[in-house]
Amino acid sequence: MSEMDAREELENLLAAYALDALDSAERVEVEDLLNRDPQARRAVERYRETAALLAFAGTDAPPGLWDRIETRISGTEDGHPPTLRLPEPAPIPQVGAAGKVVDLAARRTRPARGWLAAVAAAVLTVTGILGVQVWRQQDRIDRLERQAASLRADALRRAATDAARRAEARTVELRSPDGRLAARVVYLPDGTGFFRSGNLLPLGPQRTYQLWALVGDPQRPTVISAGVLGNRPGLAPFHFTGPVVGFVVTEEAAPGVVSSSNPALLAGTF
Amino acid sequence: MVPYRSIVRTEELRDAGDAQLALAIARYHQDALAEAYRRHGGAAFALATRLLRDRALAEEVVQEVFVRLWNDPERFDPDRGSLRSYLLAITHSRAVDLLRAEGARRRREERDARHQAEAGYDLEREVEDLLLAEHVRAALATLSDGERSAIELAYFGGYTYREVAGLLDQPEGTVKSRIRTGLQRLRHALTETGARG
Repeated sequence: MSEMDAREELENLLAAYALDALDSAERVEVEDLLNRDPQARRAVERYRETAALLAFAGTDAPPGLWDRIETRISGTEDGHPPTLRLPEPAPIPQVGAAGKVVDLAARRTRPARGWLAAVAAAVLTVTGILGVQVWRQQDRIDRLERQAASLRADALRRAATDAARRAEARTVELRSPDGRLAARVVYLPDGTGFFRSGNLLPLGPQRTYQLWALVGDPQRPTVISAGVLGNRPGLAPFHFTGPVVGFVVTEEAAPGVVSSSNPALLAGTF
Repeated sequence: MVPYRSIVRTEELRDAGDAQLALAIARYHQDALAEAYRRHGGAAFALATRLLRDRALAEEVVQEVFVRLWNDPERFDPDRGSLRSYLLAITHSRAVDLLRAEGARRRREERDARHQAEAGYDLEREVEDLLLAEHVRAALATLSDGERSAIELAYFGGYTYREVAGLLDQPEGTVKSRIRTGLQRLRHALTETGARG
């Protein structure tokens, strides 16, 4: 079989897999391939997206079905354990006027060693399981947050690029007095703006860069905060409406200030 | 863009994207799962019903699909496709698994025989009620009869390509190839008409 034939055969299998039209032996083989080959995974996802359009019906699911799903996920169905939540911090017992000192020794009975050992083992087991579960839950949240952050970053980059391409967009280069630091602001008539830093250094956790709009008379502008940029500014959106003539960046104490007497790190006018 | 922490209110969930919904589900916001169900539950149920021809079984499948999303939302990767596509893929897969169980297969074949005797069916009929019916119909028109039959039997019938080959009395390789070229043609046509795919 030539390489082209082999590739076509593989594509055929991937398409059939996407429609669940393989027998179990072939399905296992394809799944093994999908674990190793991101290109093959993408192909299956494309086929599934197309198939999903065929399946798309604008009908309502039967009444009552959601109630049953809700019952299942709430863990109230007989025999179904409650879904694990990330633990809330345990309340700290208060000791004070209302507190009572209890003589534990007087209340304690001597437990049988076997019983104690069994309880200890059970507690350790449960703790171990919960620990693993909590770790897994946190891990999945972390991964989803990373995915969401990645999508947000992509969307932000696209929005900034689109804004810069618009005919009505105004762009200003901001520079430090010695010319070594630089940033760029794209500003639209509706007040939408994007700040993109060139080489601003990261700041400590208690510090932040802050963007200020220069408004009004270019010779004697009023300085108004246009947003806090954080301590590691890359690309940041902001919104500010007014007769803006330029922008200034300062370094401030986090989380930012209402007015500043700090020197401008970067400045630029249209 | 809706920041995560602000999407826990039901009315705002309606504007949330797939990734945000999945994240909220991972945070155990039932409202987020309810929103996913509101958007896609009907389609999942329609697909499961179409395959299984049994409302009770279809409801079980849909229930399983959404409980699975609740328990394992990280299995859905928004970079790799839409939530709808993901949910329908697992709906289809689960329904096909049930179909291929011996008993279910026998019952379905009996029902199929009755159904076909009453109405007959073709792919256009199956997509009559689709939200994107016009686009999908136009795209289906670009397929050859062989491609349409192969996709129909595999996707809506739940048959393997080998079974489809037997039903259509065609070589297995031909059927496999028709499924692939048919899907590619559909995707191309749907993209051209502006529908997703």
